[in-house]
Amino acid sequence: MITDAQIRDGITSMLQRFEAPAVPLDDIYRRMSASRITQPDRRPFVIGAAAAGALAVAIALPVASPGVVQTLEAKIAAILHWSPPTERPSASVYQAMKPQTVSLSEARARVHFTLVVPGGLPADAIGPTIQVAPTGVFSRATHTWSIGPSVVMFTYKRADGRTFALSAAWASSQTSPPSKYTFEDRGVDKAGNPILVKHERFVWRNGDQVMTAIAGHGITPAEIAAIQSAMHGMPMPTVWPPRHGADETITMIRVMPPR
Amino acid sequence: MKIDREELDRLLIQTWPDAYRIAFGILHDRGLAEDAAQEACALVARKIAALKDASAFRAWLYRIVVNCAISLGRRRHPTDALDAAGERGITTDPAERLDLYNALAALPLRQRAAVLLHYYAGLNSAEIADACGFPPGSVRFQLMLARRALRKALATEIRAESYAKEATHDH
Repeated sequence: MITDAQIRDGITSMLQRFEAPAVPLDDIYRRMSASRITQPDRRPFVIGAAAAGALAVAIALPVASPGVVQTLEAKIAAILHWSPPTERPSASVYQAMKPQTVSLSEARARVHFTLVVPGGLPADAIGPTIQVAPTGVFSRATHTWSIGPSVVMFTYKRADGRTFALSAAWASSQTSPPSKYTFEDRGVDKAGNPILVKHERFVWRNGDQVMTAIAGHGITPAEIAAIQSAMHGMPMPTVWPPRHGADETITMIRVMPPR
Repeated sequence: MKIDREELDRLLIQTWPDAYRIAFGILHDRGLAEDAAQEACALVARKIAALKDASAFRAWLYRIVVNCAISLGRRRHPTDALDAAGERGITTDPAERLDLYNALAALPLRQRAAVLLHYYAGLNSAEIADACGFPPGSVRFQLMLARRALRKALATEIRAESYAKEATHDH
């Protein structure tokens, strides 16, 4: 008969075998001073990413009075050197952005560009799960959201449980340079401030496809470079801060972890 | 509890491995565990001044870590899909504690948290209920279910260890 004490010893000894990474004191203090409290949030998270040519950043603002939004916008703009969309996508647009898991042939049939499948992946990458996600596009000129062209997300799992995704989009002929960073929208904290996580993006082109990878999401910049090289992709220069213009559009991709 | 920056640094350095391990025990994902442990340590750093009883520190810390890990687990996997096969089997020493590890990974998120708070942090069911916001009766029930699964896993491990010892003696 296994006793409670044996379970306790088993669990204690098991946990003590997990090697903890070095203490990230700087990150902890940064979080502390940012007063960001992660709240339970059952929504799928959303990241901004580039559909072809769009300035690739996207976040959602908290629901607040216009005055508060202005203040928040000013704060965010000062920190990020970029100002976010002034409106949230409507429920119907958001619903339409829901990604769908598909086969490779279905994915090919649902996009208007020649889909080039990623190669040169890390040896422990398992997958991919393929999803097609219509993008949400915010226009600074009209302050409205609309549905944009779909992107194809290739999601891979790694041996240590992390996942990473590569997104493929149509390389439109009327493009401005893609932005160097994208923002993961993690909702809002207790005070109603948006929680945004900044990620560096790597973008390359294969024919009429633009592929984007986000460093730190289960993949390192060196591994991304290996994928780009294996695909013979043409690296695309990125810019930061993005140039603000009345014709600027902001693209949002809704990301749901594949089951 | 008054604490200056140097003391806080020392406290975080001591606290971090435990925070990470508990978060990893719940989330079974290194990246998420690091995120949860960072969030928990930031909360500890921010709220330590309000902690009145220094002897309650460990239990207080564990509660924060577990809550951060549960929040993150639910957000990352809206339907608690942390049990996906691909996320199991991560251990620094696969030859040992693997059955127990897999048994823990197979438990639902709340059971996993209750198990770690009970067996690792030493909290009783009322304290776990208070820490996690679960009803006390539910905690007792969850622990009973978890105990069954873990006993089975541990029995398999102990048998495997004794076979291994016997095999070594035979040589």
